[in-house]
Amino acid sequence: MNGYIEAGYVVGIGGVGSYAAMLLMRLRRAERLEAMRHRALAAREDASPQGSNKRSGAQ
Amino acid sequence: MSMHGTLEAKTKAAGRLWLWSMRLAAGSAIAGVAATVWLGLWVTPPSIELGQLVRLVYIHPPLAWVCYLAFSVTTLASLAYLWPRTRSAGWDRLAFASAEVGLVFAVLTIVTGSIWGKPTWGTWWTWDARLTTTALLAVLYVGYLALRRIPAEPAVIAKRSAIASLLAFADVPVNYFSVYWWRTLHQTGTVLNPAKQMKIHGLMAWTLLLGFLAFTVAYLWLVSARYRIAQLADLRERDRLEVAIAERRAQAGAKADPTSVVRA
Repeated sequence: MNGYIEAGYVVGIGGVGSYAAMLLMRLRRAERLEAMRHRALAAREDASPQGSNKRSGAQ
Repeated sequence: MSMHGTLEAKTKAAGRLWLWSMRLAAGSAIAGVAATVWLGLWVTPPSIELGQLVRLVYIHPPLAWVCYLAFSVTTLASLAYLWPRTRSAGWDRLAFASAEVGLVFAVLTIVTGSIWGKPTWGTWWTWDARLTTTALLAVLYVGYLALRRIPAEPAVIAKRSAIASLLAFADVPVNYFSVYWWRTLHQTGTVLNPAKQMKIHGLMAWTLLLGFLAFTVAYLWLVSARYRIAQLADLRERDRLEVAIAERRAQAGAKADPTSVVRA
């Protein structure tokens, strides 16, 4: 085979693969931030007077 | 179970389903592309006309197909956004995600086409109708993505970019029919041609179809991932805005009632 075929495959599949890898990293980072946001929201809810009422009601 | 609990359980189940669908799509795409490479490079025979160079047919047309598919999805999602009955941020997000993925595939189509063009036509680039309209397509969608970055209200961004995407899509049929309307160096469609006659047969045809399928599944994964990233970014932005508004309100309240500061 000549170098053009290999180059075409490397660029085509490598390009899609690189983009997919970048998206995967960004997705994982976004999911981590989302989990942190959820924890912060839960903490804020617990700290609010309504949250305290809920807790005392549960007790 | 309470209503809130049922909703939370449903959300969790949907999240798990989405995660498994993504994993299945990723696995299928990797296996499909790997099989295409194996068949394309080592199993399929060379052609009489192009010799070994025909092996690039298993990569370049599937990339171009996904580019058309992605821009079509962007257009349909934009139309769904513009239609008042179906208007939702989800359609706008889908249009954006698909446009970005489509642009990546458009660039890869141009580069792999150029690599194929050099040994076949003797040049990396020529201002042929198909090549020119493909380059124009990439530029139009760069413009679409750039337009989305101009600061404005989310609804304004969504509306103007939906209109821009409809205008940009006008180049897709021109790009497709360019090889029939004008005399070009670029060959006519191998599979997707108006005569609906495949110009490739046997194992070569199956390998090409596998390439189309594998890249289509890869597209589905990429769009889903890009959509989710945009969705999470929107949620964080909404949260940030809510906190900023609450802080402003608290500041305004403190100014209106100075004794509250003393009391505090």
